[in-house]
Amino acid sequence: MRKIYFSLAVAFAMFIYGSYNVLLVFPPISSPANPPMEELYRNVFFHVPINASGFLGFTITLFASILYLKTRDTKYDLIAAKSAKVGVFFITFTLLTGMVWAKPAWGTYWNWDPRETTALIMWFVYLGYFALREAMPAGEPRARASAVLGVFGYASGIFTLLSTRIFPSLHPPTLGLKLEPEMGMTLGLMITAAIIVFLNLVYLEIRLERLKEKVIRG
Amino acid sequence: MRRHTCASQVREVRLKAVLNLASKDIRAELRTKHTINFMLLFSGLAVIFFSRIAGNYVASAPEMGAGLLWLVFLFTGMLGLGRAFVKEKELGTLDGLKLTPMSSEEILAGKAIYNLALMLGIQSIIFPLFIIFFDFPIQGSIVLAFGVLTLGNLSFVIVSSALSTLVLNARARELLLPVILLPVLFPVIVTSVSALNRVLVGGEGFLNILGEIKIILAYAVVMSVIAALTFDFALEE
Repeated sequence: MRKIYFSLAVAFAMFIYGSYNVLLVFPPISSPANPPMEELYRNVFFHVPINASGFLGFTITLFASILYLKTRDTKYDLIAAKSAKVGVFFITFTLLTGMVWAKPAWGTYWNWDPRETTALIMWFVYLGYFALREAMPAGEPRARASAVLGVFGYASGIFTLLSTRIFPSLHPPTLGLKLEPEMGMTLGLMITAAIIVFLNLVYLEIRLERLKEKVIRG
Repeated sequence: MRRHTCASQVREVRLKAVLNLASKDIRAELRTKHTINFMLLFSGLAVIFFSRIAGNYVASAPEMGAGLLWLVFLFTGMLGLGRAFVKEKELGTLDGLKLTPMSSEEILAGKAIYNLALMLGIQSIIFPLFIIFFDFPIQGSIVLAFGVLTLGNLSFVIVSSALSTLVLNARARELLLPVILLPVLFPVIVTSVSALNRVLVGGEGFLNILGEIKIILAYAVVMSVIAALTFDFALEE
């Protein structure tokens, strides 16, 4: 547990330092075409890290599901379920921060932009995943069914991204994003902090589940 | 040479087994018509409701039509396609099916073909009905539109046949199936609606919708591969 506290404290310190930079140190950028953007760009430092860790969560779910089907080790089922749970939690905030930013930037909260669509559909896929888990008693059949759905769901997410690519996107490019070195460092810091928090949350969830099982078994 | 004939014989038997299973289901369905009648009634009702509620708007914005048509198929499919396996489970014949010397992929393929037959039946009745009730102005080729619909339904039945086995042991499986199926189907439905729109409203030809067709086909292929790889686990008890 001490390790958890320590890494969470480190992540928290990184987050505070990053937020301080983002909110108080960085100057407004110049955006003559869309004046609100001069200050609003700061949202990216919160939006991108939680989004990255959310999708990391779904990817972990995919690999844990495949590993479960190969090995039938309940450990992987637990990892898949908990990683999806924390992933859904993070993607919820991705969607919210995205919508808050999109209203002034694009003039509408929701725009069916490829990335928005993909995030939303993945969000629903994993809510369906939990619905399936809720509807079955804990055990091997449940682990098998949800692992299969975990694979299908991820593939569908990829196709959602692919299918929406036919239409032009308003979303700023992720990889071509140009940042000052100072800002890039801060963004990296925030992403690292979010991933540390994410992994700790998954670990704590798994621990909690194990303790529950222990209590039930007596 | 001898090995070659052996291999081709094995493949022939397998295809035969798949078709046998599909024709068994189709014959049983034609005898009782339990599923197809309900699906037809429901889809007819859906068309009538949509026509009464949104018919005037579709006349001024025909782009809405393809979306509504797909919604009818989607809801009807949700209602009926899960039955292919649920029926076997309810009648207690699922274990018998598993005991047959068929691989799980063959069982899935047989059920998917049966489901495709159901959807094609619905499609060939509902599509004309839809055009009549909405007085739909068709610009492009009807054959191409029918082909695009069939392609979309093919992807639909592959995914729904595979996923409907996941809910067999779950509580409230009728409620659960749409919830897990709809998000997974989202990309193919949206692409199919877009392709259908471009044919029906835009009057575009095969080459113009090639992008959409490629995506639908790729989806169908990838989902079939995933289904074939995971179906062993899904069917196990």
